[in-house]
Amino acid sequence: MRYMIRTENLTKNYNGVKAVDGLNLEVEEGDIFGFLGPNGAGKSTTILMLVGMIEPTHGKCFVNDIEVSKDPLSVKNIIGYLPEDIGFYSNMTAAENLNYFAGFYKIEKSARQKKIEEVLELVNLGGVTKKAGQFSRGMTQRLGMAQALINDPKILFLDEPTANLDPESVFQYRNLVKRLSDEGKTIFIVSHILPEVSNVCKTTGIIKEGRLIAKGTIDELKREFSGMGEDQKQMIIEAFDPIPDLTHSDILKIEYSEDRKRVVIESTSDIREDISGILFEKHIRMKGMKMHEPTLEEAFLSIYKE
Amino acid sequence: MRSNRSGLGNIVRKEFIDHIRSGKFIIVFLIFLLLSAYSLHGGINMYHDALDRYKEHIERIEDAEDIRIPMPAGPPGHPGVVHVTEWMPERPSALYAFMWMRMAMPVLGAILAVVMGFDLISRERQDRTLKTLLSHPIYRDEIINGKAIAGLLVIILAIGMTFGISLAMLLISDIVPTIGEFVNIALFGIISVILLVSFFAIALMSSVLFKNSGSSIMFAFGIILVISLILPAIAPFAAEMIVGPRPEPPPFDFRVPPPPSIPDEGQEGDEGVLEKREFEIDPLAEEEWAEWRRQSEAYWERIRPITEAFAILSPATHFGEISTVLDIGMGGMMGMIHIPGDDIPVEDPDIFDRLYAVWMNILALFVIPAIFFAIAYTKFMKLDIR
Ligand SMILES: Nc1ncnc2c1ncn2[C@@H]1O[C@H](COP(=O)(O)OP(=O)(O)OP(=O)(O)O)[C@@H](O)[C@H]1O
Ligand SMILES: [Mg+2]
Repeated sequence: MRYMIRTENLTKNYNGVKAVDGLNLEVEEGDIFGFLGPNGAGKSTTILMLVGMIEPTHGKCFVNDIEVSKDPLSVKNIIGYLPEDIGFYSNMTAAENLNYFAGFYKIEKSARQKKIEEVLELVNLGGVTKKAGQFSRGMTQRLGMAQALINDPKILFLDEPTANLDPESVFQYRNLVKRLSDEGKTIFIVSHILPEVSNVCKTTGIIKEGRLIAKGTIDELKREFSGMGEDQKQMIIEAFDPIPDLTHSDILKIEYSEDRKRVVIESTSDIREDISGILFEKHIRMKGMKMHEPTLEEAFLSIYKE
Repeated sequence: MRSNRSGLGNIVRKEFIDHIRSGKFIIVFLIFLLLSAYSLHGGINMYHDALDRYKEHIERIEDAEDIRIPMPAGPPGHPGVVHVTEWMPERPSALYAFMWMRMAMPVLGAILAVVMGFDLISRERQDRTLKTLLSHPIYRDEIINGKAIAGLLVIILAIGMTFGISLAMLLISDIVPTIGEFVNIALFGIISVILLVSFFAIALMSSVLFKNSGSSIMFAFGIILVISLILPAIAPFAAEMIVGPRPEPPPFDFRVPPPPSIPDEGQEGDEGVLEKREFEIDPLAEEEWAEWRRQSEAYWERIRPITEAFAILSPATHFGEISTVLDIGMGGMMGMIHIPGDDIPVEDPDIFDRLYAVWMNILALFVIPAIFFAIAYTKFMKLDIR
């Protein structure tokens, strides 16, 4: 697999404060990479260096094997970028805005018009004739997505792409991202909203105070941060009657609530069938029993709290 | 993929359309056009008055009705009597009609150019379009160069229309400029363009320096006020403070000679010009006057570089100096008084010689916008666009 995005010790200082601090990162071709981190972690700063808008203080970054600070124009030709605070010319319509930006690429005049209609359709802005100044924030953001797609980029950089979207637009956005990924595009998504990343991303990196503190698939991260091993299971049992002491060879740890109507069991295997048998024999009426999967949310929060 | 700089053309096109579609620009340009036309209208009326006076005078000469005007003895050199018939009247020039327009141009032009330029960059930053724009494959300097070129084109268009209408007004008013006058009017149009470009460059610079468009417009007008009004206005005081007070002239000495006898009509003479009379002048007084003149000249020689330095950044001053040698707003007087025996050159120096005399002003008029644009350019290239 080749890396479409690669950074080497990428660093950005702002008045002596490191917004990004020695970042080493690789994103494979065709990946949907989620870049997660709390506010001020350095996510946008990283993306701005990757798209050639600001120069790194130290280190290098490569996009499609082009060193960005050496040849930003070539990089901009093959990427699409949705900034976190996108703005458009308020006196021009969506199509006019896109036409202006399309003018910076080698696209035939006739193909250009078709491309504009196509990308507007993709973000559900087809046929909208309002001036961009009258757009809602969500519409502006969707136009931002269209703008990032105008040159049919190989790599997409999206900074908080769903920040202003309503649920339906979020749904459409996710489908769009999946479709673009299927077309073979590499997508780099910055977010502090966890479901945004867990829903669409294949790989995730977590950044905090400018440093990459974790990287892997969603499942890998979940396990890593829940503190549980791969062969560790957690079950929660609730009953209407107090639960007596339970014994099982696979149980690692067991915790009863004060009224003994709720038990949390950690074991080496899924022992729900055995437990329900035991409770049935003892005539204890069960309310429910479920496996507890550690969520990325928990994993993520545990990182934030560190 | 894109190796050439075709992005510039795209920016120029968009910016040009932006200007001419902008309601703000259209309104201010219409006001500009109306007031320019109004000032020319005033000039045309003055031209007609001057023409009437001219015709009256020609008649009087043809009637050979002589009137003598006694002249005071000072400043010395030309004492005596001047005869009305000795006045060499000049037909008023079409350039005379531009007198008010010449005065209005710096004020109206400053307003138009500042309105065009004050928010060109600041608005892109406020609306966060600069970031969107820069994420596409363009060089950063193409943005500011494109805006400058589009501004220049719009100014050329605006001045072109204004002068087109002005010429039409002249023709409608039966004023047909000669070829020479036409050349001067065209040159006046060109320096008007550069004048507006200077103000535009100041506004563009201001829009780079300030993110807030309100601050930007205040700053632009502030700078223009300082360089074109305040500095030139305080210059004479500053110069006098540096050089000291001007020399006092000696007391006036009125010694009007007895009126000469009126010669007989039709007497053989130098075509109606009377013989020159010599007057006795007090040699002591003359010496005093000569001394005063020497001192004055020396004094002004020292004052001039100081006042010029104060006005060096004022495009309006240079515009005025060049307009003067182009005879814009001139040529409406009764013509020069031709004093017999004086060596006033009859032939005017040609246009190139006259422009050469103000080459410093011409140079300055080009350098001023270049300076402000250079500041705008450098600042813009270093702008933090996050
Ligand atoms: N122009 C600037 N000057 C000084 N410091 C800056 C500047 N821009 C960003 N920073 C600092 O750099 C750090 C990283 O900012 P960045 O915008 O990359 O965070 P982020 O992860 O994108 O946060 P958010 O989720 O809020 O968008 C922050 O501490 C911020 O204060
Ligand atoms: Mg951010």
